[in-house]
Amino acid sequence: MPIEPTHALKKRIKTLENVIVVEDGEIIEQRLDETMQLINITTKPSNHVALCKETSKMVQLNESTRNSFLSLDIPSNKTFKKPLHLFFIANKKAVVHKTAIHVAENTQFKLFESVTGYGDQTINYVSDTHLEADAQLTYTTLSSGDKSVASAIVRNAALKARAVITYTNGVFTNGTTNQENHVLLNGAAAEGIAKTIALTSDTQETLIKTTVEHLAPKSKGLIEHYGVANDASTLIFEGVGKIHKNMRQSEARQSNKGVVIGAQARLDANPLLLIDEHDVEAGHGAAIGRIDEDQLYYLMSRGLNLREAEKLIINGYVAPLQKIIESETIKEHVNTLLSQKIQ
Amino acid sequence: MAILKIENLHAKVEGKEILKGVSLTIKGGETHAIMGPNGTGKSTLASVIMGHPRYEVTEGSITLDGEDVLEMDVDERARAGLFLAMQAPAEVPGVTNSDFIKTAMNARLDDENKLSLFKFIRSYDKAVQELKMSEDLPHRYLNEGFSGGEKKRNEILQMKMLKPSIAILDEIDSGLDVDALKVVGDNVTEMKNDNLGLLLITHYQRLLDYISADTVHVMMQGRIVKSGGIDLMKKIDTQGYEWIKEELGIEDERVIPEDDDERIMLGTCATKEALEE
Repeated sequence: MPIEPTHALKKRIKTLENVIVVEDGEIIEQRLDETMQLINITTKPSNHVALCKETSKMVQLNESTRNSFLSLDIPSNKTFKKPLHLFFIANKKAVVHKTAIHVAENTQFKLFESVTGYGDQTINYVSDTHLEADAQLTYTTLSSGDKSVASAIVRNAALKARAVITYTNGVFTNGTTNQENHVLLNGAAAEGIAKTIALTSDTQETLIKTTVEHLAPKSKGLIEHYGVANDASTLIFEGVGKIHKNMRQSEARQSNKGVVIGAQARLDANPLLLIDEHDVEAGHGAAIGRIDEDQLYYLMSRGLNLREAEKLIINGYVAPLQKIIESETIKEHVNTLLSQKIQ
Repeated sequence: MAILKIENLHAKVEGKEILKGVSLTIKGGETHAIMGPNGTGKSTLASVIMGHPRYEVTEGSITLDGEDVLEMDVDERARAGLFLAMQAPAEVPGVTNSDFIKTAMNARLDDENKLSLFKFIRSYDKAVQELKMSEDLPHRYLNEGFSGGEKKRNEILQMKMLKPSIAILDEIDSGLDVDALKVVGDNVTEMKNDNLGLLLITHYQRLLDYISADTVHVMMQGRIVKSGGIDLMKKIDTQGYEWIKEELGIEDERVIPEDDDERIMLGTCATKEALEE
């Protein structure tokens, strides 16, 4: 099933408050309430130093060919109750975009970000986030797009002392996609949570790589991957928890859960813990396979047919994303994306 | 009025025959109890009626109002009116109890008559209260992290919402303390009517103090070996099963080796202790 056309997405966006829409490199809509106007927003490329430039080819490409830029400077000592919604649309041209986010000391902020591509465009999307001491950011993302859209999406974050970032990424793209999420815990007791929920279908190939690097003591990292592989798709999760030497009392955890629905589908999880220090806590677990027969039997014994039962179980994998989304409009949007993925 | 008719039912699991010719008829308004020691095929019978994919029926028939149940898939059996309160219901993370039961109720309705959300929430909340379950139950994930007792109550909660015509309660008393057993008993008793046929599967006559039965059947060696009324129940309560074995010349009543249902045994012992307190 094709994805919702641009106008349907824009119609949904109209019902949201605190929105910035960037289409083909231009801001086409910006509606912010009084509190949000405290944020300094610019589209002029700055001399911002890219995170993880050495390790990521996608970042290098972004640096050299960028045609779209947005920066958000969020002031210190503020608690923003409502989320800011960012929408990036690649409609008529290939987009190489970067979002630079800076959250100042002791501020709490919520960001929702959607990246969508239409037709046969390509997307290279990078977001760099800097969290100052005691800052907290809830960063929820969605990616979607037509089958012919190839996308590379990288989200990097650098955290100072006691800062906390919570990523929840929903990957619903129909085309080949390569997504990275890299969290650098630079300050003591900083905390990085990175959850990704990916649904793949048809013959698409998806690679999800999540890295949490512990570069300070008492830092905490949590990686969670949830996947549903349909049809003949391939979904690969790579999770890396890396604790550097002397970063005592750090904690690195990781879990991978997934179901393989399609007869020719493939789902791999490669959890990795790289630990160069003794005084730490670390662990990982994985549960990947076909849908549990007992679960299916149980649901069907209450009258659900096989497809309904499967859908409900798959829905369960998207629950961590739906749980964190506040807006009904976006919940509904996720449901639409979900129903396109599993028919 | 529904009629479930089981005739000469034989079934095997992993090549081993467990049911060896069970015959039983349950009509709306009746309550039957199947009793018997461990490993005699009681729970297998329940699973075979519901259509668990692990069991293979080799002989005999099951019909519901004349319709061939063995020809139906599990979900078709449910929609036809069968319900099984399971001994060990599955946990399904990410799926809330309310979403699940709402989907199950809607599966019985055609597109024009889908359930109104408001009506559903009202009736569901009421049933949650009647079963004395926690208020956040609708939003919790299906059976995930539930205690044994909570799972059992959740089965009865689903039965209340789905209103089956034939309900089988498979060891609904195991893992329940006396208070919870009373709550479950009261709720099941309250559901009794001429359109509901009940089959209780239990080790203990004690369950029948909370849910009264008209007929009791004793199962051994994969068959019903004795049926009777209140007198039979009382005799089992005071004398156990040995006299039946002697009377019928049965040496080993089991069809399932002991280690296969050790887990179930533990659950049962715990119940017994709770009941005797």
